Amino acid sequence: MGASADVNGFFGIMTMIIAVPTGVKVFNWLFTMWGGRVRFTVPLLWSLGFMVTFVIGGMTGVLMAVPPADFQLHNSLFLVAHFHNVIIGGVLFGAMAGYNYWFPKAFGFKLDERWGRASFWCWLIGFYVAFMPLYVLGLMGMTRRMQHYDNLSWQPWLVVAAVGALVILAGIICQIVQLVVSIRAREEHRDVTGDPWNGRTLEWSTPSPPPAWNFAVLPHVVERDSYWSQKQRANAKENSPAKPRNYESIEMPRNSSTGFINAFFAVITGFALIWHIWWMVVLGVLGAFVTVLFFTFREKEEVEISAEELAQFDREHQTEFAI
Amino acid sequence: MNIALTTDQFDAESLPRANEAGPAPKRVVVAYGFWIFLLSDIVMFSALFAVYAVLMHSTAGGPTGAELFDQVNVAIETACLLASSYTCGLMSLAINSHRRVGTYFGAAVTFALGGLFLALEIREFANMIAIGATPERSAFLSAFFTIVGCHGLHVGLGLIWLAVMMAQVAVQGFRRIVERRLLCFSLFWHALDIIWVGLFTVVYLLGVNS
Repeated sequence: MGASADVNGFFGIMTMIIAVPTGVKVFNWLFTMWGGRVRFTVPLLWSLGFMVTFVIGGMTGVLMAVPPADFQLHNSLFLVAHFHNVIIGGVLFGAMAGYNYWFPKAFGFKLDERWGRASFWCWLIGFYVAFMPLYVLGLMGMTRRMQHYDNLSWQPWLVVAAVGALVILAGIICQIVQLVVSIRAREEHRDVTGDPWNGRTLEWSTPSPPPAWNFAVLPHVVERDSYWSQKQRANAKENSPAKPRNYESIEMPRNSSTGFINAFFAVITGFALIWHIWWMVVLGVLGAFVTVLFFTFREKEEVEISAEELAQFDREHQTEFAI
Repeated sequence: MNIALTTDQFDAESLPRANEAGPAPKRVVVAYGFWIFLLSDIVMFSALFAVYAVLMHSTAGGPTGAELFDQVNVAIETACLLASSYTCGLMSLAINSHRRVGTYFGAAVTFALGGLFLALEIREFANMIAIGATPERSAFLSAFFTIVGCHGLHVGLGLIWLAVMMAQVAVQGFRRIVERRLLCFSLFWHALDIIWVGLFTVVYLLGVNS
């Protein structure tokens, strides 16, 4: 729009180039599922929703990589639909998959499956109902950020989009309910194995939630999916004698409230800068500076976790397979 | 390492175990982290350089670089900063051999030269604003004050950092952690010098010819 042919050509080519690595990634994900065993748990539902939605968003992106098409679609609702298609499908759905997948590792209990499913379906259906009409509206010539419109033929599509937004709202509510329900029923959702999904990667060999030092003994990794093959081997020859673990003391940084206090002063500084309250800016910067100064003059910056402590922690939280 | 290792020659147990090799020394880890910070800073300056290159001719009828820049002043600024990098290097040598007096001396000269640089820059800004060449005057001046001011802000913060480090050497002596922080400081100071060389070339030398 208003840019020269060179600029349009440049952006067209760059947009097409983006599609290449992204396409490779999509095949990565598909082949990962092909090589694995798919269980339709909540994280996987989100992942599937992510892949499908992201691919559709990517394809509409390739449409806009064509400069003559982009010339028409620029700043229209088609563009808005496209980037929501990739941002919701690509970032948000992926983040929700990760949230449901690693929640038990971080907090020690799984999230409720039923509410998770409800949330996923509301989000997925709501997304398509809300954003697909925007593609049509964009092609009909509706631009973005309109303060009002007087074209009646747009009205039905906008009503459909509004209904979709309500379905998404239901999805958000389900998410909040999922969290509240899971916290209240955390004792029955408790992850005692540290490996609730029968995972492949090393983080699942630690207890949930993991201790501050993560691994009591640094894992010895000689192959891809070390933890997985360890489990396979342990299943094959049962009761193999457990190797004695050689504990060494670990140095950990001491806990500090500096970050929290600093964030407080950063908020004050940011607020004061926005509203030009200069005395408060001075106060905020000075507060942050003194906090950091105080922190840097501390005597001891590390605590040592002794080998005995590590051994005792390991005995109390015996995970099935040591690496 | 023999790269042409075939699978049947591959003996996992003979390789150093992760826990035997141990983590990298803290000095290396800290310096690595600080390099990443420096690179992020350089990315920011690259963006500011790009902005300046695009806007340097957009003077909106206001004063141009050729009218505003005083080459003598900038030459003294540059000499100060380059010399301060040299004395910062002397300070690093004194720190390596735990010589307190040498460290204080190197730091004091570095601080003085950095302070002089900053004073000259502030005077230059003040003179420009006095004749109406403010950041609001034109896109060129907005870009100029942003990139040069951002560098000056870095120098100012570096001076505060240096002063705090000298207080730490005085109170805590050459502790490992103090030495690591001084290592980071000297990396920071030299990086500012490199950025200044770019600024000097792009803003002042090219600006006079435009």
